[in-house]
Amino acid sequence: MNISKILIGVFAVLLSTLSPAAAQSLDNPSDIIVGNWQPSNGQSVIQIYKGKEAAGEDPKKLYGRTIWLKEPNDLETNQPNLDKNNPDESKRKTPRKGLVIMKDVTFTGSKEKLTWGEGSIYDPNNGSTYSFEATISPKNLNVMEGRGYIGVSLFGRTDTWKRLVKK
Amino acid sequence: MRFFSPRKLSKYLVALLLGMALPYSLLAQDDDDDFDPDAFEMADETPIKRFCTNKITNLSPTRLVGISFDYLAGYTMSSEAAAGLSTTDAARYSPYSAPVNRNSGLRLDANIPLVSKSNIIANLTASYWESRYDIDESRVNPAHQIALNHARHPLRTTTLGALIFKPLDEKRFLVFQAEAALNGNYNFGDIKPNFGLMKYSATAIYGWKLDDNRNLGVGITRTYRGGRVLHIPVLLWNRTFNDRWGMELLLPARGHARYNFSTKSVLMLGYELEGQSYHVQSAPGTNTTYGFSQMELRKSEIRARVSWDKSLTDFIWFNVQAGVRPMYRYELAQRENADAFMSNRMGMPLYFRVGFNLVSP
Repeated sequence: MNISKILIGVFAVLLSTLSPAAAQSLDNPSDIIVGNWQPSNGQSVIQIYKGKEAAGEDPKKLYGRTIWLKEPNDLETNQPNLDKNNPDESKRKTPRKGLVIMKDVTFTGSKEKLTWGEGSIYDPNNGSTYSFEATISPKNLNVMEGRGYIGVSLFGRTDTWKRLVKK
Repeated sequence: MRFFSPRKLSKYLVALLLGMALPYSLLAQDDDDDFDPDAFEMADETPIKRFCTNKITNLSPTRLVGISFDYLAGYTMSSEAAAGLSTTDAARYSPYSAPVNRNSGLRLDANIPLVSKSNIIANLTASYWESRYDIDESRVNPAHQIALNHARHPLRTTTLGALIFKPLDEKRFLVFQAEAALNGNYNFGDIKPNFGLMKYSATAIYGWKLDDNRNLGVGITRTYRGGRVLHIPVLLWNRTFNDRWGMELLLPARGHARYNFSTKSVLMLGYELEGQSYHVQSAPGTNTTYGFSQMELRKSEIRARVSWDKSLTDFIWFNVQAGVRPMYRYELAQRENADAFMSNRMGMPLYFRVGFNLVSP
């Protein structure tokens, strides 16, 4: 076998795994949403990932974790901002950074219509959990319209999130 | 031609795989305790404009749909000729008093978001309020005709409008509100509402979101809260002082000090000015009211109150209010823009309101 061809093939496979676009292939549309995203207010970065069984998550569903906060610490105490509004009192001392705020999101669309839903998103500012759905245009896989809502989608609010990639 | 032996080749491949796996693990950001925003950039370079929101920290929740029941305890309604009438005219409106056992009525409010995005929020607003006067007609002098009219025909207000919040950037915003109101003692039966006498009000505010704890705005409003049309300046000023205390002002319509037991339990202490101009009619085939088959009632009252909002679930909140209701204006005129011919004192009864609201995200 031609060793040069093998090496070229191996390089090609490895390089493709390195590319951020790899996770955005329309061949696997459900994973296009996986990655790091910044909501329009620029106050945080949310990493969307596939559920980890070790963390008690469903590997068939998608989750979102706060991996960066513009203001991670309380300005008065200089201590980490905590999830103090959580309705579950036992969780109120959990730092906001690292919180899994998006849960159980599933792909509900197709290659032509990239939509996710059936999950929830938590707002630590008020301790409320909303239904969540998201849409990405197949023409631009780096911009997401995320919508949190109550009961029916009419009672909600849409925000534009942008994908972050390594420089 | 052979470049490598199979053994060497396998070593190179393992080294290559390990070398490639390292940066990939960094890219995947499995554990991002040390996420460095400077190492990342937007994958989409289209500039995204950032906008301020209409909320500040701990602001009382925005009500999307609400149902409540309003109750005023008993008081005495005293009517007399308005000041400034000639002696002859004043003689037509002798003073009378009538006991009102209570006022009560249902209030339905809706504030439905048609568009709710970071760059604009546009809501459709609608409401239906009624105020029933529980008056024992046997205790009313037959000449006290406005009391008899109220006893038979509750006042109603039905509104339809729009509320738009338009942020201009991260600091500045505009608020527009417009509303058409059908006010009167109509009942969709023998007393038909007169759509030609709808009242139109509107407000425009230019504001600044100073930070997450303060917003401020100034503007102008056309309002009937004073009982007749007024064009006056308005001041919007919301401020959160700390985790517990804040204030919410939209002067002169309302002003409250706020105490947050938590983000799910809010106590407000302050007032709201409520008022409208009503089209009051007499039922066909019955006696006219002071000789008029229709007239204008100018009503403006202050609800000085303590109000408590408590979440029952994430989005359904319970509200209870208690306070007093001083009346600022309660006068009758033959028509819009005419001078009043009768004024009324409506006591200062206790009032209570309970309701449930679906609140906004």
